[in-house]
Amino acid sequence: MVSRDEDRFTRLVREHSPAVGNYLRRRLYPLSPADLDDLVEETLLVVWRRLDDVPDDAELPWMIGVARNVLRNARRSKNRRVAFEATLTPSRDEPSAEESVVADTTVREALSSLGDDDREFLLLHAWDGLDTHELAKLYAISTNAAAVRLSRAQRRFRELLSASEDG
Amino acid sequence: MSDFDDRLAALDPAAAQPYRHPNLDGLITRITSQRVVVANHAWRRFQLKMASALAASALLTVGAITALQGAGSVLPLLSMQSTSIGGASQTNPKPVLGAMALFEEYHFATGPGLTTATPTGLSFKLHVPSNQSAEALRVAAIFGVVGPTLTISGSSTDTTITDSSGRSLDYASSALPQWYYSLSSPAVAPATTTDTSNANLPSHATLEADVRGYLAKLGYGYNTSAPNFSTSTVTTTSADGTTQGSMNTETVTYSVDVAGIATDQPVEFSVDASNHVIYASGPAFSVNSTSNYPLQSPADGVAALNAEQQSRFPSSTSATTSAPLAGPPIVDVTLTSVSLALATYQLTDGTTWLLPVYNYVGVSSNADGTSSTSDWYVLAVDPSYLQVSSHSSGAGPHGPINY
Repeated sequence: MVSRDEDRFTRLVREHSPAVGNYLRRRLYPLSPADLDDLVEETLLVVWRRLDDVPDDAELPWMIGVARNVLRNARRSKNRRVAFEATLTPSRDEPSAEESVVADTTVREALSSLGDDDREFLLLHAWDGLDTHELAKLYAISTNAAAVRLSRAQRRFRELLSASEDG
Repeated sequence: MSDFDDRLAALDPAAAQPYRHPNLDGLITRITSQRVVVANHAWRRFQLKMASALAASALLTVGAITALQGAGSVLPLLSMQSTSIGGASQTNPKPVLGAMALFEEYHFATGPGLTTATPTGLSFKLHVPSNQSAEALRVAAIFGVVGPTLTISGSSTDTTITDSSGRSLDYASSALPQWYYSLSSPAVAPATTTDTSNANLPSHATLEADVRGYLAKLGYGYNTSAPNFSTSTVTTTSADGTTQGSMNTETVTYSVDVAGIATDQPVEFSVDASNHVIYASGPAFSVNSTSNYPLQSPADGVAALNAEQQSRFPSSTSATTSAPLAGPPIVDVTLTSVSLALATYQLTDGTTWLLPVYNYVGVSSNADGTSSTSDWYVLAVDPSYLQVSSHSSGAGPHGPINY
Protein backbone atom coordinates (compact mmCIF):
# COMPACT_ATOMS: atom_id res chain seq x y z
CA MET A 1 0.00 0.00 0.00
CA VAL A 2 1.35 3.40 -0.97
CA SER A 3 1.34 5.94 1.85
CA ARG A 4 0.33 9.54 1.50
CA ASP A 5 3.95 10.52 2.06
CA GLU A 6 5.08 8.29 -0.78
CA ASP A 7 2.40 9.75 -3.02
CA ARG A 8 3.52 13.26 -2.29
CA PHE A 9 7.18 12.43 -2.63
CA THR A 10 6.57 10.69 -5.94
CA ARG A 11 4.71 13.72 -7.23
CA LEU A 12 7.47 16.06 -6.05
CA VAL A 13 10.09 13.94 -7.78
CA ARG A 14 8.19 13.70 -11.04
CA GLU A 15 7.32 17.41 -11.09
CA HIS A 16 10.51 18.94 -9.86
CA SER A 17 13.44 16.55 -10.31
CA PRO A 18 14.07 17.82 -13.87
CA ALA A 19 14.31 21.39 -12.56
CA VAL A 20 16.52 20.28 -9.69
CA GLY A 21 18.73 18.35 -12.08
CA ASN A 22 18.96 21.33 -14.40
CA TYR A 23 19.85 23.58 -11.49
CA LEU A 24 22.67 21.25 -10.51
CA ARG A 25 23.86 20.73 -14.08
CA ARG A 26 24.23 24.49 -14.57
CA ARG A 27 26.40 24.80 -11.49
CA LEU A 28 28.19 21.47 -11.43
CA TYR A 29 31.74 22.64 -12.05
CA PRO A 30 34.27 21.77 -10.65
CA LEU A 31 32.57 18.45 -9.97
CA SER A 32 32.38 15.81 -12.62
CA PRO A 33 29.29 15.34 -14.82
CA ALA A 34 29.38 11.79 -13.55
CA ASP A 35 28.42 13.13 -10.12
CA LEU A 36 25.18 14.73 -11.33
CA ASP A 37 22.87 11.78 -10.68
CA ASP A 38 24.41 11.28 -7.25
CA LEU A 39 23.76 14.92 -6.36
CA VAL A 40 20.16 14.70 -7.54
CA GLU A 41 19.65 11.56 -5.50
CA GLU A 42 21.24 13.12 -2.44
CA THR A 43 18.92 16.12 -2.83
CA LEU A 44 15.84 13.96 -3.15
CA LEU A 45 16.87 11.87 -0.18
CA VAL A 46 16.92 15.05 1.93
CA VAL A 47 13.49 15.94 0.55
CA TRP A 48 12.22 12.53 1.62
CA ARG A 49 13.69 12.90 5.10
CA ARG A 50 12.24 16.36 5.46
CA LEU A 51 9.00 15.84 3.59
CA ASP A 52 6.89 17.44 6.29
CA ASP A 53 8.92 20.60 6.00
CA VAL A 54 8.40 21.09 2.27
CA PRO A 55 6.06 24.09 2.01
CA ASP A 56 3.08 23.60 -0.27
CA ASP A 57 3.42 27.06 -1.75
CA ALA A 58 7.15 26.88 -2.43
CA GLU A 59 8.05 23.32 -3.27
CA LEU A 60 10.54 24.07 -6.03
CA PRO A 61 12.39 26.89 -4.22
CA TRP A 62 12.65 24.64 -1.17
CA MET A 63 14.06 21.77 -3.22
CA ILE A 64 16.49 24.09 -4.99
CA GLY A 65 17.57 25.29 -1.57
CA VAL A 66 18.36 21.71 -0.61
CA ALA A 67 20.17 21.16 -3.91
CA ARG A 68 22.22 24.27 -3.27
CA ASN A 69 23.31 22.94 0.12
CA VAL A 70 24.12 19.53 -1.32
CA LEU A 71 26.17 21.14 -4.06
CA ARG A 72 27.90 23.42 -1.59
CA ASN A 73 28.93 20.49 0.57
CA ALA A 74 30.17 18.51 -2.41
CA ARG A 75 32.16 21.49 -3.67
CA ARG A 76 33.53 22.10 -0.21
CA SER A 77 34.85 18.56 -0.12
CA LYS A 78 36.39 19.05 -3.52
CA ASN A 79 37.85 22.40 -2.51
CA ARG A 80 39.27 20.97 0.69
CA ARG A 81 41.20 18.48 -1.30
CA VAL A 82 42.50 21.12 -3.66
CA ALA A 83 43.27 23.64 -0.95
CA PHE A 84 45.10 21.28 1.29
CA GLU A 85 47.14 19.71 -1.40
CA ALA A 86 48.32 23.11 -2.47
CA THR A 87 48.09 25.03 0.84
CA LEU A 88 47.22 28.13 -1.07
CA THR A 89 44.29 29.94 -2.48
CA PRO A 90 42.53 29.52 -5.77
CA SER A 91 43.00 32.72 -7.70
CA ARG A 92 40.21 35.22 -7.56
CA ASP A 93 39.70 35.06 -11.27
CA GLU A 94 38.59 31.46 -11.10
CA PRO A 95 35.30 31.36 -13.00
CA SER A 96 32.14 30.43 -11.21
CA ALA A 97 30.35 27.24 -12.11
CA GLU A 98 27.88 29.24 -14.16
CA GLU A 99 30.61 31.03 -16.08
CA SER A 100 32.33 27.80 -16.94
CA VAL A 101 29.44 26.60 -19.07
CA VAL A 102 28.65 29.82 -20.91
CA ALA A 103 30.23 29.93 -24.32
CA ASP A 104 29.28 33.51 -25.26
CA THR A 105 32.43 35.40 -24.47
CA THR A 106 30.71 38.73 -23.98
CA VAL A 107 28.05 37.37 -21.66
CA ARG A 108 30.66 35.37 -19.78
CA GLU A 109 32.72 38.48 -19.31
CA ALA A 110 29.73 40.32 -17.89
CA LEU A 111 28.86 37.40 -15.61
CA SER A 112 32.46 37.19 -14.50
CA SER A 113 32.45 40.81 -13.42
CA LEU A 114 29.18 40.45 -11.55
CA GLY A 115 29.26 39.78 -7.82
CA ASP A 116 28.44 36.28 -6.62
CA ASP A 117 25.11 37.25 -5.09
CA ASP A 118 24.04 39.26 -8.13
CA ARG A 119 25.00 36.43 -10.47
CA GLU A 120 23.06 33.88 -8.47
CA PHE A 121 19.94 36.04 -8.35
CA LEU A 122 20.20 36.79 -12.05
CA LEU A 123 20.58 33.18 -13.14
CA LEU A 124 18.06 31.71 -10.73
CA HIS A 125 15.60 33.99 -12.50
CA ALA A 126 16.85 33.70 -16.06
CA TRP A 127 17.81 30.02 -16.11
CA ASP A 128 15.87 28.37 -13.32
CA GLY A 129 12.77 30.45 -13.84
CA LEU A 130 12.27 31.51 -10.24
CA ASP A 131 10.12 34.62 -9.88
CA THR A 132 10.52 37.16 -7.12
CA HIS A 133 8.10 35.28 -4.86
CA GLU A 134 10.08 32.07 -5.26
CA LEU A 135 13.40 33.87 -4.84
CA ALA A 136 12.05 35.35 -1.64
CA LYS A 137 11.15 31.88 -0.39
CA LEU A 138 14.54 30.49 -1.33
CA TYR A 139 16.47 33.25 0.42
CA ALA A 140 14.01 33.66 3.30
CA ILE A 141 13.61 37.33 2.52
CA SER A 142 10.64 39.50 1.65
CA THR A 143 9.27 39.56 -1.89
CA ASN A 144 10.10 43.24 -1.98
CA ALA A 145 13.70 42.57 -1.04
CA ALA A 146 13.93 39.86 -3.67
CA ALA A 147 12.56 42.22 -6.30
CA VAL A 148 15.05 44.90 -5.35
CA ARG A 149 17.99 42.49 -5.48
CA LEU A 150 16.89 40.97 -8.77
CA SER A 151 16.43 44.38 -10.28
CA ARG A 152 19.85 45.44 -9.08
CA ALA A 153 21.48 42.31 -10.48
CA GLN A 154 19.76 42.79 -13.85
CA ARG A 155 20.77 46.41 -14.01
CA ARG A 156 24.38 45.68 -13.20
CA PHE A 157 24.49 42.86 -15.71
CA ARG A 158 23.02 45.02 -18.45
CA GLU A 159 25.49 47.77 -17.71
CA LEU A 160 28.42 45.38 -17.77
CA LEU A 161 27.21 43.79 -20.98
CA SER A 162 26.67 47.14 -22.64
CA ALA A 163 30.06 48.37 -21.55
CA SER A 164 31.68 45.23 -22.87
CA GLU A 165 29.95 45.42 -26.23
CA ASP A 166 30.54 49.13 -26.57
CA GLY A 167 34.19 48.61 -25.77
CA MET B 1 20.30 44.60 -27.26
CA SER B 2 16.74 45.02 -26.03
CA ASP B 3 16.14 41.85 -24.08
CA PHE B 4 19.00 40.72 -21.92
CA ASP B 5 16.92 38.06 -20.22
CA ASP B 6 16.24 36.35 -23.52
CA ARG B 7 19.91 36.48 -24.37
CA LEU B 8 20.84 34.93 -21.07
CA ALA B 9 18.14 32.29 -21.37
CA ALA B 10 19.41 31.37 -24.82
CA LEU B 11 22.73 30.48 -23.24
CA ASP B 12 21.24 28.21 -20.62
CA PRO B 13 23.55 25.17 -20.66
CA ALA B 14 20.69 22.94 -19.52
CA ALA B 15 18.27 24.05 -22.23
CA ALA B 16 19.82 21.95 -24.95
CA GLN B 17 20.22 18.97 -22.67
CA PRO B 18 17.50 19.02 -20.00
CA TYR B 19 18.18 16.80 -17.06
CA ARG B 20 16.43 13.46 -16.98
CA HIS B 21 17.27 10.85 -14.40
CA PRO B 22 18.01 7.52 -16.05
CA ASN B 23 15.79 5.55 -13.70
CA LEU B 24 13.34 7.72 -11.86
CA ASP B 25 11.10 4.88 -10.74
CA GLY B 26 14.04 3.01 -9.29
CA LEU B 27 15.23 6.18 -7.59
CA ILE B 28 11.84 6.75 -5.95
CA THR B 29 11.64 3.16 -4.79
CA ARG B 30 15.16 3.24 -3.45
CA ILE B 31 14.57 6.41 -1.46
CA THR B 32 11.08 5.69 -0.14
CA SER B 33 12.24 2.31 1.10
CA GLN B 34 14.44 4.16 3.58
CA ARG B 35 12.48 5.04 6.69
CA VAL B 36 15.54 5.35 8.87
CA VAL B 37 17.89 8.24 8.33
CA VAL B 38 21.20 6.84 7.20
CA ALA B 39 23.98 8.15 5.07
CA ASN B 40 22.95 7.17 1.56
CA HIS B 41 25.25 5.43 -0.80
CA ALA B 42 25.71 8.48 -3.01
CA TRP B 43 26.99 10.61 -0.20
CA ARG B 44 29.10 7.73 1.06
CA ARG B 45 30.75 7.55 -2.33
CA PHE B 46 31.63 11.23 -2.06
CA GLN B 47 33.05 10.65 1.36
CA LEU B 48 35.14 7.76 0.15
CA LYS B 49 36.41 9.78 -2.77
CA MET B 50 37.60 12.44 -0.36
CA ALA B 51 39.04 10.18 2.29
CA SER B 52 42.59 10.05 1.03
CA ALA B 53 42.61 13.77 0.35
CA LEU B 54 41.49 14.55 3.87
CA ALA B 55 44.25 12.42 5.31
CA ALA B 56 46.74 14.48 3.38
CA SER B 57 45.01 17.61 4.56
CA ALA B 58 45.45 16.71 8.20
CA LEU B 59 49.15 16.24 7.70
CA LEU B 60 49.48 19.64 6.10
CA THR B 61 47.57 21.29 8.90
CA VAL B 62 49.83 19.77 11.50
CA GLY B 63 52.79 20.91 9.46
CA ALA B 64 51.52 24.44 9.48
CA ILE B 65 51.09 24.42 13.24
CA THR B 66 54.55 23.03 13.76
CA ALA B 67 56.04 25.73 11.59
CA LEU B 68 54.29 28.35 13.64
CA GLN B 69 55.55 26.98 16.91
CA GLY B 70 59.05 26.88 15.54
CA ALA B 71 58.83 30.53 14.66
CA GLY B 72 57.82 31.37 18.20
CA SER B 73 55.11 33.74 17.05
CA VAL B 74 52.70 35.30 19.49
CA LEU B 75 50.10 35.96 16.83
CA PRO B 76 47.22 33.48 16.90
CA LEU B 77 46.58 31.31 13.89
CA LEU B 78 44.00 32.60 11.46
CA SER B 79 41.69 29.61 11.27
CA MET B 80 39.48 29.42 8.20
CA GLN B 81 37.67 26.85 6.14
CA SER B 82 39.12 27.99 2.85
CA THR B 83 41.59 30.52 1.63
CA SER B 84 39.50 31.01 -1.49
CA ILE B 85 38.69 34.60 -2.34
CA GLY B 86 35.08 35.16 -3.32
CA GLY B 87 33.97 37.04 -6.38
CA ALA B 88 35.54 37.40 -9.76
CA SER B 89 37.40 40.31 -11.16
CA GLN B 90 39.28 39.06 -14.13
CA THR B 91 39.37 42.02 -16.40
CA ASN B 92 39.44 40.06 -19.61
CA PRO B 93 37.92 36.65 -19.02
CA LYS B 94 38.93 34.15 -21.59
CA PRO B 95 36.32 32.30 -23.62
CA VAL B 96 35.50 28.78 -22.66
CA LEU B 97 35.63 26.05 -25.21
CA GLY B 98 31.99 25.11 -25.07
CA ALA B 99 29.44 23.76 -22.67
CA MET B 100 31.00 21.87 -19.78
CA ALA B 101 34.48 22.72 -21.03
CA LEU B 102 37.03 23.26 -18.35
CA PHE B 103 39.13 26.36 -18.22
CA GLU B 104 42.69 26.63 -19.22
CA GLU B 105 45.57 25.67 -16.99
CA TYR B 106 47.64 28.75 -16.36
CA HIS B 107 51.40 28.75 -16.03
CA PHE B 108 52.61 31.85 -14.28
CA ALA B 109 55.98 33.49 -14.80
CA THR B 110 57.37 36.52 -13.06
CA GLY B 111 57.93 39.46 -15.39
CA PRO B 112 60.92 41.80 -15.09
CA GLY B 113 58.82 44.61 -13.73
CA LEU B 114 57.49 42.66 -10.80
CA THR B 115 58.91 43.76 -7.51
CA THR B 116 60.41 41.09 -5.33
CA ALA B 117 60.38 43.05 -2.09
CA THR B 118 57.97 41.76 0.54
CA PRO B 119 55.66 44.57 1.61
CA THR B 120 54.03 44.96 4.97
CA GLY B 121 50.29 44.92 5.21
CA LEU B 122 47.91 45.08 8.10
CA SER B 123 45.07 42.66 8.80
CA PHE B 124 41.82 44.04 10.16
CA LYS B 125 39.38 42.28 12.44
CA LEU B 126 35.98 43.80 11.78
CA HIS B 127 33.10 44.75 13.99
CA VAL B 128 29.73 44.07 12.43
CA PRO B 129 26.43 45.18 13.96
CA SER B 130 25.13 42.54 16.33
CA ASN B 131 21.48 43.57 16.28
CA GLN B 132 20.17 43.12 12.74
CA SER B 133 16.80 44.78 13.15
CA ALA B 134 18.16 47.70 15.15
CA GLU B 135 20.85 48.38 12.57
CA ALA B 136 18.31 48.07 9.76
CA LEU B 137 16.08 50.64 11.43
CA ARG B 138 19.04 52.97 11.98
CA VAL B 139 20.15 52.80 8.37
CA ALA B 140 16.56 53.09 7.18
CA ALA B 141 16.12 56.30 9.13
CA ILE B 142 19.27 57.76 7.56
CA PHE B 143 17.78 57.19 4.12
CA GLY B 144 14.43 58.61 5.17
CA VAL B 145 12.54 55.35 5.41
CA VAL B 146 10.54 56.54 8.38
CA GLY B 147 6.98 57.14 9.41
CA PRO B 148 4.18 55.77 11.47
CA THR B 149 3.30 53.01 9.02
CA LEU B 150 6.59 51.21 8.56
CA THR B 151 6.33 47.63 7.41
CA ILE B 152 9.05 45.41 8.83
CA SER B 153 9.52 41.91 7.47
CA GLY B 154 12.26 39.40 6.96
CA SER B 155 13.99 36.51 8.61
CA SER B 156 16.91 35.76 10.85
CA THR B 157 19.26 36.78 8.05
CA ASP B 158 17.37 39.63 6.43
CA THR B 159 15.27 42.59 7.48
CA THR B 160 13.28 44.74 5.07
CA ILE B 161 11.75 48.01 6.18
CA THR B 162 9.26 49.70 3.86
CA ASP B 163 7.45 52.98 4.40
CA SER B 164 4.06 54.03 3.09
CA SER B 165 5.55 55.58 -0.04
CA GLY B 166 7.28 52.37 -1.07
CA ARG B 167 10.80 53.33 -0.07
CA SER B 168 12.60 50.38 1.40
CA LEU B 169 15.75 49.42 3.22
CA ASP B 170 16.87 45.84 3.03
CA TYR B 171 19.53 44.73 5.49
CA ALA B 172 21.11 41.35 4.90
CA SER B 173 23.11 39.71 7.67
CA SER B 174 26.07 37.62 6.63
CA ALA B 175 29.73 37.44 7.48
CA LEU B 176 29.81 41.03 6.30
CA PRO B 177 26.28 42.52 6.43
CA GLN B 178 25.06 44.62 3.52
CA TRP B 179 22.42 47.34 3.30
CA TYR B 180 20.36 48.13 0.21
CA TYR B 181 18.18 51.23 -0.09
CA SER B 182 15.65 51.62 -2.86
CA LEU B 183 13.37 54.56 -3.54
CA SER B 184 10.65 52.24 -4.76
CA SER B 185 9.88 48.59 -5.02
CA PRO B 186 10.47 47.40 -8.57
CA ALA B 187 7.78 44.73 -8.66
CA VAL B 188 8.49 44.46 -12.34
CA ALA B 189 12.16 44.53 -13.16
CA PRO B 190 12.99 47.65 -15.14
CA ALA B 191 14.78 47.72 -18.42
CA THR B 192 17.96 49.73 -18.31
CA THR B 193 19.78 51.28 -21.20
CA THR B 194 23.00 53.17 -21.07
CA ASP B 195 22.55 56.65 -22.43
CA THR B 196 25.27 59.17 -21.90
CA SER B 197 23.51 61.92 -23.82
CA ASN B 198 21.12 62.80 -21.03
CA ALA B 199 21.48 66.26 -19.62
CA ASN B 200 20.35 67.82 -16.37
CA LEU B 201 21.66 65.11 -14.12
CA PRO B 202 23.61 66.06 -11.01
CA SER B 203 27.31 66.56 -11.55
CA HIS B 204 29.83 64.03 -10.41
CA ALA B 205 30.90 66.41 -7.68
CA THR B 206 27.32 66.69 -6.44
CA LEU B 207 26.89 62.95 -6.41
CA GLU B 208 30.18 62.47 -4.57
CA ALA B 209 29.09 65.01 -1.99
CA ASP B 210 25.84 63.09 -1.57
CA VAL B 211 27.77 59.90 -0.92
CA ARG B 212 30.11 61.54 1.55
CA GLY B 213 27.13 62.91 3.44
CA TYR B 214 25.39 59.58 3.71
CA LEU B 215 28.54 57.71 4.67
CA ALA B 216 29.23 60.24 7.41
CA LYS B 217 25.74 59.65 8.79
CA LEU B 218 26.17 55.91 8.59
CA GLY B 219 29.30 56.26 10.67
CA TYR B 220 31.04 53.06 9.79
CA GLY B 221 34.33 54.86 9.40
CA TYR B 222 35.51 53.42 6.14
CA ASN B 223 36.58 55.52 3.18
CA THR B 224 35.94 55.17 -0.52
CA SER B 225 38.10 55.46 -3.60
CA ALA B 226 38.18 54.85 -7.34
CA PRO B 227 34.76 56.27 -8.26
CA ASN B 228 33.25 54.88 -11.42
CA PHE B 229 30.39 56.93 -12.89
CA SER B 230 27.71 55.85 -15.33
CA THR B 231 24.54 57.39 -16.71
CA SER B 232 21.49 55.30 -17.45
CA THR B 233 17.88 55.58 -18.47
CA VAL B 234 15.70 53.25 -16.45
CA THR B 235 12.33 52.38 -17.96
CA THR B 236 9.85 50.62 -15.72
CA THR B 237 7.23 48.44 -17.34
CA SER B 238 4.19 46.81 -15.83
CA ALA B 239 3.40 43.13 -16.07
CA ASP B 240 1.32 43.64 -19.23
CA GLY B 241 4.24 45.30 -20.93
CA THR B 242 3.03 48.87 -20.81
CA THR B 243 5.57 51.50 -19.96
CA GLN B 244 5.11 53.09 -16.59
CA GLY B 245 7.80 55.68 -16.97
CA SER B 246 11.41 56.42 -17.61
CA MET B 247 13.99 57.91 -15.33
CA ASN B 248 17.47 59.20 -15.99
CA THR B 249 19.95 58.22 -13.32
CA GLU B 250 23.55 58.95 -12.48
CA THR B 251 25.36 56.16 -10.66
CA VAL B 252 28.68 56.03 -8.90
CA THR B 253 30.40 52.91 -7.62
CA TYR B 254 33.31 53.12 -5.20
CA SER B 255 35.75 50.70 -3.74
CA VAL B 256 35.64 50.73 0.06
CA ASP B 257 39.05 51.53 1.52
CA VAL B 258 40.49 50.69 4.91
CA ALA B 259 43.71 52.41 5.94
CA GLY B 260 44.19 53.51 2.36
CA ILE B 261 43.98 49.99 0.93
CA ALA B 262 41.19 49.02 -1.45
CA THR B 263 38.93 46.21 -0.28
CA ASP B 264 36.67 43.82 -2.14
CA GLN B 265 33.64 45.74 -0.86
CA PRO B 266 31.78 48.26 -3.07
CA VAL B 267 29.54 51.20 -2.25
CA GLU B 268 27.03 52.25 -4.89
CA PHE B 269 24.70 55.23 -5.18
CA SER B 270 22.25 56.24 -7.92
CA VAL B 271 20.44 59.57 -8.07
CA ASP B 272 17.79 61.01 -10.39
CA ALA B 273 17.72 64.39 -12.08
CA SER B 274 16.46 65.96 -8.87
CA ASN B 275 19.36 64.48 -6.93
CA HIS B 276 17.07 62.11 -5.06
CA VAL B 277 18.81 58.87 -4.12
CA ILE B 278 17.16 56.13 -6.17
CA TYR B 279 19.32 53.31 -4.98
CA ALA B 280 22.23 52.83 -2.61
CA SER B 281 24.07 49.87 -1.20
CA GLY B 282 27.16 49.07 0.79
CA PRO B 283 28.65 47.04 3.64
CA ALA B 284 27.98 47.51 7.34
CA PHE B 285 31.19 47.24 9.31
CA SER B 286 33.81 49.12 11.21
CA VAL B 287 37.34 48.13 12.10
CA ASN B 288 37.56 46.41 15.47
CA SER B 289 41.30 45.80 15.76
CA THR B 290 44.44 45.68 13.68
CA SER B 291 47.13 43.00 13.50
CA ASN B 292 50.41 42.89 11.69
CA TYR B 293 50.61 39.37 10.34
CA PRO B 294 53.78 38.72 8.34
CA LEU B 295 53.25 38.33 4.62
CA GLN B 296 54.73 35.84 2.24
CA SER B 297 56.78 37.33 -0.56
CA PRO B 298 55.20 38.17 -3.92
CA ALA B 299 57.44 35.47 -5.42
CA ASP B 300 56.01 32.92 -3.01
CA GLY B 301 52.59 34.14 -4.03
CA VAL B 302 53.40 33.35 -7.65
CA ALA B 303 54.60 29.92 -6.62
CA ALA B 304 51.32 29.49 -4.80
CA LEU B 305 49.41 30.39 -7.94
CA ASN B 306 51.32 27.79 -9.93
CA ALA B 307 50.92 25.13 -7.26
CA GLU B 308 47.21 25.82 -7.13
CA GLN B 309 46.95 25.31 -10.86
CA GLN B 310 48.83 22.03 -10.61
CA SER B 311 46.48 20.87 -7.88
CA ARG B 312 43.43 21.75 -9.96
CA PHE B 313 44.74 19.89 -12.96
CA PRO B 314 46.59 16.85 -11.64
CA SER B 315 48.48 14.84 -14.15
CA SER B 316 46.74 11.95 -15.84
CA THR B 317 48.95 9.53 -13.99
CA SER B 318 47.83 10.78 -10.60
CA ALA B 319 46.25 8.07 -8.51
CA THR B 320 43.76 10.55 -7.10
CA THR B 321 42.34 11.58 -10.46
CA SER B 322 38.87 10.14 -10.76
CA ALA B 323 37.04 12.64 -12.98
CA PRO B 324 36.94 11.83 -16.68
CA LEU B 325 38.48 15.12 -17.68
CA ALA B 326 40.41 15.99 -20.78
CA GLY B 327 43.58 17.93 -20.24
CA PRO B 328 43.02 21.66 -20.38
CA PRO B 329 44.90 23.89 -22.79
CA ILE B 330 47.92 25.59 -21.30
CA VAL B 331 48.05 29.37 -21.14
CA ASP B 332 51.26 31.17 -20.25
CA VAL B 333 50.81 34.25 -18.07
CA THR B 334 53.53 36.78 -17.38
CA LEU B 335 52.83 38.67 -14.18
CA THR B 336 53.89 42.26 -14.65
CA SER B 337 52.91 44.02 -11.44
CA VAL B 338 51.63 43.34 -7.95
CA SER B 339 49.84 45.42 -5.37
CA LEU B 340 48.19 44.83 -2.02
CA ALA B 341 44.45 44.77 -1.53
CA LEU B 342 42.15 43.58 1.23
CA ALA B 343 39.67 40.74 0.92
CA THR B 344 36.93 39.63 3.27
CA TYR B 345 37.31 36.37 5.17
CA GLN B 346 35.20 34.81 7.85
CA LEU B 347 37.24 32.77 10.30
CA THR B 348 35.98 29.61 11.90
CA ASP B 349 35.39 31.46 15.17
CA GLY B 350 32.78 33.56 13.35
CA THR B 351 34.81 36.74 13.23
CA THR B 352 35.12 38.64 9.98
CA TRP B 353 38.44 40.00 8.77
CA LEU B 354 39.87 42.00 5.95
CA LEU B 355 43.11 40.23 5.10
CA PRO B 356 45.84 41.41 2.73
CA VAL B 357 45.89 39.76 -0.67
CA TYR B 358 48.29 40.15 -3.56
CA ASN B 359 46.66 41.53 -6.68
CA TYR B 360 48.82 40.51 -9.62
CA VAL B 361 48.30 41.88 -13.09
CA GLY B 362 49.30 39.44 -15.78
CA VAL B 363 49.36 39.25 -19.54
CA SER B 364 48.11 35.99 -21.04
CA SER B 365 49.40 34.83 -24.39
CA ASN B 366 46.50 33.31 -26.30
CA ALA B 367 46.72 30.55 -28.85
CA ASP B 368 45.49 32.88 -31.61
CA GLY B 369 48.42 35.22 -31.08
CA THR B 370 46.48 37.82 -29.14
CA SER B 371 47.05 38.69 -25.51
CA SER B 372 44.79 39.75 -22.69
CA THR B 373 45.31 41.28 -19.29
CA SER B 374 43.89 39.74 -16.15
CA ASP B 375 43.96 40.16 -12.41
CA TRP B 376 45.02 37.32 -10.15
CA TYR B 377 44.62 37.23 -6.40
CA VAL B 378 46.23 35.20 -3.67
CA LEU B 379 46.11 35.54 0.10
CA ALA B 380 49.27 37.35 1.11
CA VAL B 381 49.42 36.30 4.76
CA ASP B 382 52.33 33.99 5.50
CA PRO B 383 50.80 30.48 5.24
CA SER B 384 52.42 29.44 8.52
CA TYR B 385 49.92 31.73 10.23
CA LEU B 386 46.93 30.05 8.62
CA GLN B 387 45.04 27.01 9.75
CA VAL B 388 42.54 25.74 7.23
CA SER B 389 39.99 23.54 8.92
CA SER B 390 39.16 20.15 7.52
CA HIS B 391 35.53 19.89 8.52
CA SER B 392 32.29 21.15 7.04
CA SER B 393 30.10 23.66 8.81
CA GLY B 394 26.83 22.71 7.18
CA ALA B 395 24.58 25.24 5.49
CA GLY B 396 25.85 28.61 4.42
CA PRO B 397 24.63 32.01 5.52
CA HIS B 398 21.76 32.23 3.05
CA GLY B 399 20.64 28.65 3.28
CA PRO B 400 17.19 28.65 4.84
CA ILE B 401 17.12 24.88 4.71
CA ASN B 402 19.43 23.01 7.01
CA TYR B 403 19.67 19.31 7.30
